[in-house]
Amino acid sequence: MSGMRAVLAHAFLGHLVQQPGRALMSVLALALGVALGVAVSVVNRSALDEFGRGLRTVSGQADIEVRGARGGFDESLYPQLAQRPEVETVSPLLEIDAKPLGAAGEGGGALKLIGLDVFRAASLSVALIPPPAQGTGRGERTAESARAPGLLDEDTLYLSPAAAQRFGLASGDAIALQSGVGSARFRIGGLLPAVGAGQMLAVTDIATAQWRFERLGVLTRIDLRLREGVDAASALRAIGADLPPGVFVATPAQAESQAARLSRAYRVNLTMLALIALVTGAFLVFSAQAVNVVRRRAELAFLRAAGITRGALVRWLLLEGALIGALGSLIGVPVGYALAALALRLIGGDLGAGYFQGAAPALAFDPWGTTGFVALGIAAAMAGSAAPAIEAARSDPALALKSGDAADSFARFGPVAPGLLCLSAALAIVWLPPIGGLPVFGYAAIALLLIGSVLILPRLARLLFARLPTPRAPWLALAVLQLRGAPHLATLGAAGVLAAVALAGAMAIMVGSFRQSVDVWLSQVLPADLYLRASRAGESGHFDTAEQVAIQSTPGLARIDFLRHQSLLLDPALPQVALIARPLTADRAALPLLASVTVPAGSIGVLASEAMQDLYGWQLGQRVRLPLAGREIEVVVAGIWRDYARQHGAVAIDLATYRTQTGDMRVNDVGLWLAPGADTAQVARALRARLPADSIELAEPGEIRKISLGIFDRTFAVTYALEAVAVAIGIAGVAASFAALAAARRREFGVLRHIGLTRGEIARMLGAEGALVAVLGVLTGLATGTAISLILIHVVNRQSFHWSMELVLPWGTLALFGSAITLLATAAAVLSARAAMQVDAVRAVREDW
Amino acid sequence: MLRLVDLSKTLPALQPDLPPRELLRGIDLDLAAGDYVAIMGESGCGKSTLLNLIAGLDRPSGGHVELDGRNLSALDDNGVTRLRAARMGFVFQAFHVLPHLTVAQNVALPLALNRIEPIEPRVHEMLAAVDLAARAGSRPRELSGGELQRVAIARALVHRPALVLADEPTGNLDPETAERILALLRESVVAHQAIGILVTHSHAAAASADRVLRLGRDGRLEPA
Repeated sequence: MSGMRAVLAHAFLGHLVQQPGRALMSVLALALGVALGVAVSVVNRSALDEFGRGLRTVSGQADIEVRGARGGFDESLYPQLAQRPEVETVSPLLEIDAKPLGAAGEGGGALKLIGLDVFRAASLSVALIPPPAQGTGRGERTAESARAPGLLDEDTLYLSPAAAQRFGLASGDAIALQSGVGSARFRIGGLLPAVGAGQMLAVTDIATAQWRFERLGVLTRIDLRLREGVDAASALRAIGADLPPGVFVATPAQAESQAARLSRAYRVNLTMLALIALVTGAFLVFSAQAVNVVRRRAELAFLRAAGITRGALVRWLLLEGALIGALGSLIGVPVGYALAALALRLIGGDLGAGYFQGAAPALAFDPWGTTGFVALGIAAAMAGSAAPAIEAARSDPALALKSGDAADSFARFGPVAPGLLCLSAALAIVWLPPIGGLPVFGYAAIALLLIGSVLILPRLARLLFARLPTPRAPWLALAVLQLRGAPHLATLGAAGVLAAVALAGAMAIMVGSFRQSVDVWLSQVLPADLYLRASRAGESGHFDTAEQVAIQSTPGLARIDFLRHQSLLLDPALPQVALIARPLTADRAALPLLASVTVPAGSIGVLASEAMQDLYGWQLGQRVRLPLAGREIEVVVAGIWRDYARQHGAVAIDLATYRTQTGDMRVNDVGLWLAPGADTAQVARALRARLPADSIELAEPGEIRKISLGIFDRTFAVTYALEAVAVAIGIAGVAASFAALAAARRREFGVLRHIGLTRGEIARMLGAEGALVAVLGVLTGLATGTAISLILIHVVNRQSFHWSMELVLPWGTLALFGSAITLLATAAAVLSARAAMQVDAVRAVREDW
Repeated sequence: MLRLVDLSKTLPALQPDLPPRELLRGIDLDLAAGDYVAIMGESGCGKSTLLNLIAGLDRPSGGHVELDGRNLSALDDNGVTRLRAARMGFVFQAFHVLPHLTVAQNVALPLALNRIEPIEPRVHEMLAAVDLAARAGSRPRELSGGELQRVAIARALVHRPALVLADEPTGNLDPETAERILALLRESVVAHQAIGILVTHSHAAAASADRVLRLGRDGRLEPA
């Protein structure tokens, strides 16, 4: 480093070393932002890696997968595929999410049971074949080992080590899995050590799975290995063309990408939430650096006078920002990994959202995500430093060297045009459609809205403070006059409050609106007095006709609605769509309809959730084709309904029509209306007496509502935490800017002490300034936050999760929140005044001391 | 009436092996309305400390200060502050005109603090007296150094204090402007029948006073 550079490094960066406390809040805020971002990224990476490993464990060496909906497809497809000239090996699979009963089932959750043809799977999915020691003891894990007695036994299954640990089972133990409302009992034949540590699955013979779970003749998947030299793309096209409706072909990579898509919107939104902390951190850096520039005005002016160019001044000040960002990142990365490890251990790889059931991911190193957030941390700090650096460079050194002209600082950041341009751009792009299913323009509009609001803040400050009457009390009058005379300085603190209040307020409005809408929705979709369930969609429980008759004969019931849950695969690139077969009354009041049309006579009407509109372009009255029971039927979209339970789409069809079309008489859920005078407990007892008690779940709507809202609150717990972080950073911003401004104004305080203001009056004056600045930040923050919440509700949520909701403004909460922020900001300002008053007022005004 | 009675100030030792430093020692001084004195002395001799003791911004180690018969040492911080607001005016070397207030608002400040009404005519009168009536609505950044010091003089005298303390009031001004400011300060102090104390290094500035006192290295105040 040249001598000149060393001197400049000392001049610019030395104060960070000498007075680290001044940059500490900025460093910590950025560290927090980086930590949260890294944590979300690492958890996502870990979960996706584990989920992908799980898929690859099953697909093994397959070149192509043929998949249908969870309900499966006819196994006659298997010999057809096996005979195709391009195919070398075919492995049929039946995947069932089976519900463990008894002690193993106490923790909840399903066990992924894979029924496979061991002779076929041995050459494709070797990890799913038990090792010889547990089978024949004869040689390697090949088709030979598949002949092991036990693997083909009708009561034997093999567990992955993770599943054995999760359910507390060992080789030789027994496990009962729900089948219908009965149970299928198995003996644990051994473990599958080649299955990854995070995978929870079990393997049994395919015939056993079909038989024991009443799925005879059904497959859910067929893995294919192509002959050498066959072009995979051509084979995909050729095979795909011959498949029955609702069955699709894909490569394992495509299947993995489709599975990752299940949770993508949630993951992206979580990452965006983590970025909030980083954005507010950048505002804190802006406040701190801006005030830093004000305080060092004379020093920087001297450097300019001594020959430092404007460009060099900007570069050095940006370097200061980069150093603050780098320090924040340095702290944030290990904290982020620690948070990720904690989250994976406590709430799992999906952060409570339920996307990755069956996987228990271990902490993975995420080099790209980590590097990205370190870069974002540094970039945020540099972005926060940019405006103050430019301001410092633009200052006239001759003027800046005169004491007492700090009031002019940042005055030229007052032009309102750039802010209005940002706001207009936000308004223009917010209507654009998603890119790849992600609300990219929604996020961009939020960023522009935030930047635009901050840029027009000085003008708003000028307008607001100019209209304030001058109070009689001198300390209050001085506070008002200070803000009126230097509104741009006031906005340095208000910008942090605006950012924090806008982001936290927007989240509060969005989450409040969503919760209220979910609450209303729950009361609409749960009209019965009691609900009976055999299992969730795709799981192994159901009620057969005999059990349905038993339910119907239960005394005390006035009305019974049976529901069948199935799934449809309409597009191989998209997750499966839920099919709900239920009685749809003529007025279709059974579901929360948003719009409906009359179905032409002779046509089958279905009700589609909003996600069907967004993902598949279904329109009201449109004729669409549904793959049901291996063939396609034409239906009319008779209504659009709101469905908060399934983000990838749901179609409701009348139960009687479904049964006619498919012949499937099973049901999963039952809605029960009590006869007048009937007692809920008594009816529940009667039902339990008629059905196997440990295979069914009975719940009242209130209970389901409570559990559902509990899940909702848990899912959004992370947003509450991030809101708190945003608010804390905002307050820290006010405290930092006030402390620094107070330090910069200590001469003024000294003069006021000479003139006759008491220490208490000066503290009150600063407190009043803090309160007024906070009120400005809170008011503009709430306005911006409300606008952002509209984007979150109508654009981000709709495009990410395909859910619409009613806007609910929680006035009470917002008023309380705004008042708390104002109080905290006032307290921060008073404390900063106290610190400034510790500098001897007398010394502050003397230049020849 | 200002009385300094056996006033002394001892500074604590900077190092444990050094004795405390007696900065001011046994100072007695009586000044009446209309008196205008200059205090001179070398840098670091204690001039500013003496001024701070007189203003009640620092506490003496011995003796006391009386203004209009009130012992400043007997008052608490708020009491001294109120007395300062009502009975004292200050002129500083660096002007210290509050940058976010207009010229008129700066001058009005002592009136507002003392709840003296009506404010506007008094401010106008005072600004006219320092020849700044036309700049009432200007911001400090629009003024020259000489003009800023005239604003400071107007602010120091607008509430008709009993005591005006000026600390190197011409230290930042060119000789011509300094001469005009010193003349104005003297005229204003005398016109308001205040006691004026001017602390300065400058012999030219000191010459504007009726009496010149020298603060020696021994901490004693004696006629020059």
